[in-house]
Amino acid sequence: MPPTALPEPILVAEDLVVDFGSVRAVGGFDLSVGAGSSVALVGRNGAGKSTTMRVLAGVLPATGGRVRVGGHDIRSDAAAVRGVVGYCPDVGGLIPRATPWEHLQLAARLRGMRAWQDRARGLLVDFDLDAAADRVTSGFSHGMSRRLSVVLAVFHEPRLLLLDEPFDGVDPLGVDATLAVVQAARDAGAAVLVSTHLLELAVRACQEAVVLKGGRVVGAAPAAELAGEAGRTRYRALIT
Amino acid sequence: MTGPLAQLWALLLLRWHMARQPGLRLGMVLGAAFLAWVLVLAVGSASALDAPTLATAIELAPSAYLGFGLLAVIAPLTAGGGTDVVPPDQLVAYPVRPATHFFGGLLLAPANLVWVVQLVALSALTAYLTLGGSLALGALTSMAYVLAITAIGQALAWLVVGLRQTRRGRRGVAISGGALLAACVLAVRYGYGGTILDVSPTRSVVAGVIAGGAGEQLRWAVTTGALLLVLSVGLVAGIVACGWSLGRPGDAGTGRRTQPVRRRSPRRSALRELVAVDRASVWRAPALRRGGLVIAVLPGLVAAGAAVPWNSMIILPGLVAAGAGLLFGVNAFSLDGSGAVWLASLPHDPRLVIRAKTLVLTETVLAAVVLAAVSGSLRSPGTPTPEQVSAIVASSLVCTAVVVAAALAISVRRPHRADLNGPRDAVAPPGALALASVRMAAPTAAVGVLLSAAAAVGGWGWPLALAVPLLLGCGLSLHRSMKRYADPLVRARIVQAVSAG
Repeated sequence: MPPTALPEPILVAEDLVVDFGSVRAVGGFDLSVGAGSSVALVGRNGAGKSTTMRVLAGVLPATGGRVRVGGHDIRSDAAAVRGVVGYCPDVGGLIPRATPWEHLQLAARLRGMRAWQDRARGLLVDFDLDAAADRVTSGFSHGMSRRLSVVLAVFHEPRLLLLDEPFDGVDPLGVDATLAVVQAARDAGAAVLVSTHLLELAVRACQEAVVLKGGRVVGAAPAAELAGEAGRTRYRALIT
Repeated sequence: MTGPLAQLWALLLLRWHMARQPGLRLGMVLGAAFLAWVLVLAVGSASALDAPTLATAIELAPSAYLGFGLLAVIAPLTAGGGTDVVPPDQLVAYPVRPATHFFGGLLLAPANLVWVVQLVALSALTAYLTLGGSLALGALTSMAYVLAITAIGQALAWLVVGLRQTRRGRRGVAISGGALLAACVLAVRYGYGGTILDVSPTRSVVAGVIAGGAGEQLRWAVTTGALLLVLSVGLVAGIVACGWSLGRPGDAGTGRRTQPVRRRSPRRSALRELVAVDRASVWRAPALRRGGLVIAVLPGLVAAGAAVPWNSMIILPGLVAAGAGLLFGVNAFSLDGSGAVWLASLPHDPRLVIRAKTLVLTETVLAAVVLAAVSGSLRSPGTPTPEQVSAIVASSLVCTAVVVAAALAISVRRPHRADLNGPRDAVAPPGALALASVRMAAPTAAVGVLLSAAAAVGGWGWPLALAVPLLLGCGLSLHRSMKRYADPLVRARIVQAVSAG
């Protein structure tokens, strides 16, 4: 029987470099995430996690390197990449004087989604935002904003789910809802990348963990190996 | 805790260091130097005036001083207490004294271009009123008047800010404001404008300036002393009102943020959906809503009150368009706030985003211009000639296009983070706003003068014919801004700037 070619991972980043003037925010980042996999991007503040996520989401052009998402090159076919990516930015990420429903309406229109209302309602209920669906987001608490950003990221069932600090300031029920959508995305064959500085939650959400320091990958391991005191010690050794 | 002046100095230094964009600091310095030069020119113009013009100018002086007084009261009211040196949300962790806020607002009064233009007019008038006598004494009186009325205006604005913290206060302010507006309209409608002017205290101020010029020292000293007393009262009242307003627990701004809004139906295209979101972002921002209403209603009302001749109505669209452009146009992408990052991650043609902002800005500016032009011309004497009508139409269209093109160019080049959620939030830092106002007011004023000249030449087709190349030029500028925005690096810079913080 002839050998069958392995399917290309949904996310492939090779030698990714991001410079802000003379400051190198990300230097030589390599990562691949396959279908149904989840990877945690962990590291200290300023390690380059959010910058990397912004590049992978097609928001920030990379200075160098190559990124392919779902078979599309991010440099030459950014629109196609955005079509298969769901992105929860690290802070805010919401239009201040638009309501959650208007965010969903806009996302559905720009993504060309049909019959989206039932899924939107379901997600708002799951994340306890149904009562606030028609309130402007500038009046939301930090936790509510985070939950809505996760809803917007998973709304169209993306092939690559990018969650940047999705647990930051979120209550336990919100954390459970986020963990549930991460699991659902993996079950549906999506690749998931979660950036967080909360190691415990990274371990719960993901199978693999990649440690970033100074814009470079300094370690990678199954997420479970970073659990417990031994895992924390190993993690601290990597980031200090 | 340091004193208010030390705090203000620290905030000004911080603001100066925050102005990092290329050319901004130089622009501010050159702007201040240009203003000084214009003031010298205005004062020097007195010797060049012929006797009849000089007499007319002196006759109009009390009205001009009164006009400055009205502006000094209205401008801080529209800004919710005066311009902030540093946005209040960035100062919540610091023990900034109310007096610091108040003095900061006073210091930044010249950031309002109309205030500056009126100051230039008063400087020229002071020179006319003291021609052949002591300019220094007259200037002291005028300066005392400018400072006193500006301080009183800002004190009043802070009082209104405080009153509007509660539902009952907002209702009271709305009723009082409406009654005052109605009284003004009725007074003008039934010809009491002259009577009001006769009892205006600005007649005494003008008499004081003239007395200073003529060497009547007792009268000059009494007037100037009274103005300095008013200034002292204004400063104390302002500090008290500012402290009271800032310390008052209220519900202002929270109502709209916690109440559900009516759910609208989905739009038929991506562009229309983006336009709907941008339009809502404008009208749900308290500062933009209030500013939009003021800019649409007030100039027209003043023009109607003064029964401005049809020829002068050609200038009005430029003034209104420049004001409307400053509402949000000079930092249009800030409407998306931190949502700009999320929006950039959605699959869409990025040109749709800038097109939506252009459409919403155009409709806002044009609506303000049309409303002001129509209401302002209601009491214009006689029937307009076809040339005047075509010049007013051409002026409205060209000034709108000039402002939209300039605002979009500034938005792409100099984006800023702006919350716009509170009633006192500004769309850009004071220095940037001042420069933007010059950049928009200068060409719109030139357009008004040009089209007035075209209307005077004769033939209704002239203003419209002149409008065509001007509109094409604006179209070209817009095209350049959109092309620049199509660059992913430029877009990323805008997204980073407006979503920062």
